[in-house]
Amino acid sequence: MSDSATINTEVIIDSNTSNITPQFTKRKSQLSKRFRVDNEEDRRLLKEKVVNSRLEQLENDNEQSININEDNDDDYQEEEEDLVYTTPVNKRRQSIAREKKKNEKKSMNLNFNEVLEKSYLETYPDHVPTYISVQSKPSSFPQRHFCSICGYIGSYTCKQCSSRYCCEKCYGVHSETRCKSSVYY
Amino acid sequence: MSTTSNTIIGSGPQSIYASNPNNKVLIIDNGAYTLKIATNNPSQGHLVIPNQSGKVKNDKHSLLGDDLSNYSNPSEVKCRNPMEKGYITNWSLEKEIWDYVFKRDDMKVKPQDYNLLLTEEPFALEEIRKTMYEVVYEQYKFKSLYLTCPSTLGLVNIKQQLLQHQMQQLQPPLDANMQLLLKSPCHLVVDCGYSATHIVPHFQNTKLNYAIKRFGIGGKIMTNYLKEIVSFRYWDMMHETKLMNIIKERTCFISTDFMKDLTTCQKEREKSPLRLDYVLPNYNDSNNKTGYIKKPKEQINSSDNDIKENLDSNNNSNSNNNNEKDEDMDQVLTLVNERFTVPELLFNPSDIGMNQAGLAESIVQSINCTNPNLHIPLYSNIVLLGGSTLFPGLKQRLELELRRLAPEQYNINIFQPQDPILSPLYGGIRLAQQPDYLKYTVSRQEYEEYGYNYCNKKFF
Repeated sequence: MSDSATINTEVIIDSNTSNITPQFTKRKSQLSKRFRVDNEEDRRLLKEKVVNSRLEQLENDNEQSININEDNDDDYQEEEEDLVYTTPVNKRRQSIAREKKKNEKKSMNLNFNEVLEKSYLETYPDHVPTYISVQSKPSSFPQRHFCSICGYIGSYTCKQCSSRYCCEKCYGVHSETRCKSSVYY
Repeated sequence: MSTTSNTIIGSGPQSIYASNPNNKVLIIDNGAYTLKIATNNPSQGHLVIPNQSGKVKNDKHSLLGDDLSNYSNPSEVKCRNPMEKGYITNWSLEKEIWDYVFKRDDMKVKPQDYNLLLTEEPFALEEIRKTMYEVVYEQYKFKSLYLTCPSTLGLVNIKQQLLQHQMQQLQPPLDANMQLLLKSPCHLVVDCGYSATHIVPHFQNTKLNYAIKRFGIGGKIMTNYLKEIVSFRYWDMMHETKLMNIIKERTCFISTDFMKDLTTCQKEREKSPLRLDYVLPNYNDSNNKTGYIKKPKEQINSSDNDIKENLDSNNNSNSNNNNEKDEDMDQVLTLVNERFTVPELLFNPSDIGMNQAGLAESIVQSINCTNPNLHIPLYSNIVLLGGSTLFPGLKQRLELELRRLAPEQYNINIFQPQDPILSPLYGGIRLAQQPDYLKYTVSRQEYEEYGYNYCNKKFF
């Protein structure tokens, strides 16, 4: 905490004194990596991004992505076997059949977000209740903030990633492990 | 405000129905977590299996039903869910699961001979419904379909249960609140499921579509949240979703005064009365497959009776020594604030950044959408359904919060049925046993003639 504060003041001093002492101009042009997020707009964007990705993670079922990879591996092995045992004609037939199968499967399997986008629920008039219009509205009470490390009341905000912490100890853990200090990666 | 307990010893649906081979009905309550299935044949029991398909490495066959729930090492299994946000989207997977159920020895269902009663969350998108009609009518060739909302079925079941109770004059007699629930035409059903929570007001057993509210907190998010917290703070549990679900069900509760509990926990973490040690499962020991809650040592030591303590001290110390030897081997997960911050999401989704109102506020929003004449009966007839309402303390907390939000002169009464998970299924069985059940359905011939628009009109 104290460390970051001092760096910050140095930067300000640099900008003020740059005209007088040319030695410091080099340092001014290269802002520390940890200070990429230095305006409100970026901070807001970062916060939104973090919250959304977190919600997506919480919505996630039991390791679906791994499963998809595994399926691909299976397919790959099969193809290798085909190369060894079958003639090209057979292979072509098989690949056509396989594609057909895949298409069939696709038509049965929907992706909820895609379907939601395609159904254009925003265009419905106000009096027709739809999936979007039945979502409950935001709460009238302000959001409470909890320490992202220990879960108790988080009174302080990290300057880089705007997540909360409650004490110096938790901030240490946070900056070592969890601080995502940039919007861009 | 009433504080009496509204639970009542529930009885399953009675066998009123004289089985007619032409009117075989298959009832499927297709929940996102468990699939509940039964027929209207009273001699046949119901079946509850996980609505998931699991896969183990180096085995092409997928694990379904009991094989999945009883698998020896659940952390190895990779589960896939056919449902997304409470709607069936992955039909090839869902068909796999249904096929398995239909072929089971205790079910043995031929779809062609059966009428289907299927539950569906309100406001399914059109494309999702179209695919469902295709599967039900064209691929399985069910004789007819009746599509309904699980909360409606649950409500039907609860009302009929109470009515039966009153008619047969069972003990204990219904109290005033339950009699009101029976007489009133308006009910507000809260369905806290696995993928989302729905608030569905009903007028004379018909849901009021314009006043339904939904927010995205359900059992799944809470389990994942607990898993994430525990993995960061204590043990890595990222691959133990199933275990975390069990731990959540056993240890979590809803605090009536959240901020107070949180600050007391922070002050004295080690001595806090809310602290709980959970012994994690040990797969070498066949008795300890899901883990258990460790009894606090102080409780054993600080028994009030001194003489007894002296007498038993020898025995106690012996057994304690034995226990301690075992305990050194065990992995213990200590939960303090996690026990109530996780279910707190139901009341404050904004705690994880979700920009939606919680349970109490959503109920108020929903009631405010209805005609003002319905407000009083809706506030006094709230019914809780779904697995996530089983957290201890939920009813008290909801009563407290609603009292603060609702107008002063309105009476608030919350009814918690004994079996909130199976209620919709029982309601479905009751509905299927009615002699005029087929009047509500859409048969395959009708679907073939008029198409899916006709179905959509009938199942609005």
